Amino acid sequence: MGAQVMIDMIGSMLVFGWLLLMTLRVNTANDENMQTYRGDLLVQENLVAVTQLLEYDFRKIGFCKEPDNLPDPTRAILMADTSSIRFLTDVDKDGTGPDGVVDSVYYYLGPTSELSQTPNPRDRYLYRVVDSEPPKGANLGITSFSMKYFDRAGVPIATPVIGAALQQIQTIQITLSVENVYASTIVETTNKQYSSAFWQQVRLSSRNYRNR
Amino acid sequence: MGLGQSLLSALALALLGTIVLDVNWNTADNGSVIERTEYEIMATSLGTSVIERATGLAYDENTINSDISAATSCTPVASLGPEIGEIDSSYDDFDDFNGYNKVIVGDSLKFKSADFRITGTVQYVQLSGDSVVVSAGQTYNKLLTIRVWSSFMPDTLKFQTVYSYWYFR
Repeated sequence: MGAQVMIDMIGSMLVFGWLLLMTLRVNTANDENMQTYRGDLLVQENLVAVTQLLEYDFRKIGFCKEPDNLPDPTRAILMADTSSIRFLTDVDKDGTGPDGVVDSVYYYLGPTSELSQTPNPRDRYLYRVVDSEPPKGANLGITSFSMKYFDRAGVPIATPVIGAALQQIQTIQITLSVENVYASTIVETTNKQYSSAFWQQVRLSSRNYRNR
Repeated sequence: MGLGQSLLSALALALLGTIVLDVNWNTADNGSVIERTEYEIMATSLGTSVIERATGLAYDENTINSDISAATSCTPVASLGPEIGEIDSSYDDFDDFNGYNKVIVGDSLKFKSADFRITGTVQYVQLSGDSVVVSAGQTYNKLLTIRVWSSFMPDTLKFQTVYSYWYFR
């Protein structure tokens, strides 16, 4: 075997190895990116699911199919705080529409300790309680849920809102943040990055809440 | 290495290079779509918020404290918009959002999003057959059009709602 052939073979092996490394690197990077994008998509889908539920319920504050059962919609909010609210509405419980009976709906944020088994240390349950039913919550990666209340003039009302101030609530600003429960990228052992999505429904008002 | 082998190597490199570029392009494209969707979710919530706020107000300046018995009692078309001295926080009727123009600035703490611009127009509308058409005079229905855009979004999002004069209980 001549020296030229040997040089050709070594050269070929080097080129092959280089190409192989390139391919593997591209493949790995592509897998990581796809995982991140899937995580982002999941987070956005979760965010939309939560916001749809919130928008539906909050739009119906003070609503009742039988108006006589809820004669004063301005008294529909029973309790309002930065991360919890209880209000009166007419919930469609069985999919056949509102039944004309006034229900109370209570939203509150659970502690992070409830989801300590997930990798994300910040995720928590957002509970929805209808009347005296057991609290229902799903792990959609919610990391923050906060509300600000404004009166008719757009002036913020101090929280917790109590007593007569509850009737002054005209608009509610809801801020929601959702993160993936699993880290998308591990930069270092202690620095994990989670896909996140942010939503702020600025001044959501309820048509039924005010007598006009 | 012979000429044939050199050509094959060059072709292999070119082929692999093309594949790598394609993969990179697809990855960047996917990332762009995901980010754009996030901005669009935010823009949707901002547009919806303005509409929600507007529909919580009185139909017209002249219906805030009293009823009207004729559509001509409403604000004339040329005067739609905020009254003198009214600012965003003191809007008190639906058509104050005519000429609405607001910039929402994002920040890393309170509003984790991009900067958005919101504009609004209000027009009187009426039914013509099955269509809602713009009216030259006052009617009992107003159409609010909200446009939201950002430099990070390729398209402007447009939201519309019709608000009618009604008296509740």
